[in-house]
Amino acid sequence: MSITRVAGADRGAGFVATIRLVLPDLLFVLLAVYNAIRLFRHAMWRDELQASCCSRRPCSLCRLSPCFIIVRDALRTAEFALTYFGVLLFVQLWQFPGGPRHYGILFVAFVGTVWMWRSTLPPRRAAPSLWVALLVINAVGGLTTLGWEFRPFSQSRNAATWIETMHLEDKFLMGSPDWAASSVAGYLQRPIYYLDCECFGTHVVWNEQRAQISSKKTNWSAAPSKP
Amino acid sequence: MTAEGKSEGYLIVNHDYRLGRQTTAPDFVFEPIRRFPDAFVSDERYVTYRVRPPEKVSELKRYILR
Repeated sequence: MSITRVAGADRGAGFVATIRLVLPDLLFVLLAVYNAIRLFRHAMWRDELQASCCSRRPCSLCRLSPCFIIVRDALRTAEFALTYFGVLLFVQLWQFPGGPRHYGILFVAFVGTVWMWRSTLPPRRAAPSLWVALLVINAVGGLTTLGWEFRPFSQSRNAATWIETMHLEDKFLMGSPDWAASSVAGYLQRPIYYLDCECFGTHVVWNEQRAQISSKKTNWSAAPSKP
Repeated sequence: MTAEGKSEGYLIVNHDYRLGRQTTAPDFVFEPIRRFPDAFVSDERYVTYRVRPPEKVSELKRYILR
């Protein structure tokens, strides 16, 4: 039995393989272009943008240098830089400073970059010591986080259980801020009156009404005595 | 609460430092009744308050003292 190679039969497979290779980059470029268009449409080049880019993140380029030091590949570093600036664009476009945990995606991208670079190397080549050191630091951080598993992650379930135990679930319940109280509403399986939007709800609706009410200055007096 | 026609309610907040008496509704008394302080996510440590008009608190005190 012989296998006859049909001319042009693998042409389609080659095309698909090429598309599969190019598609992630293509999507990323499209996303970057879309972000750039939004950036200019909304005239976001304001003082806040420059201030946040320059003062709050003064070491943007410094953060890219470990990537280049480890992979020693301009193309891979450029890919990581694109991811980095994509995240910065997102932060600026939506004015979302976030917390340190929101930037964990950068480390994931960093791991991906080094992974792609190492896949081109001989398999027995040792990893760079800087890379190993970074992984060890993150592993220690992960163990620290793991230690928190012995404590409750959130008290929303306990709060909801307590409300049910005290038979308050049918009472007039209010919550603030809404994004924190919404988890209690979820466990209670009933709406809560959110002070932030002055409305009943279970999940948060991030609309203009909420933004207007939340932007009003609310004054609170000194905290009461602890229970 | 007034708009909703309720004389008593329960308020769930994730930080107690901002709550005492809301100046926009100074006729209500916020009475802390339960605290849930220990959580990994600092934004999901709750304090529950009973919110009621001051006269109702006075009635309660009179009832307890009687």
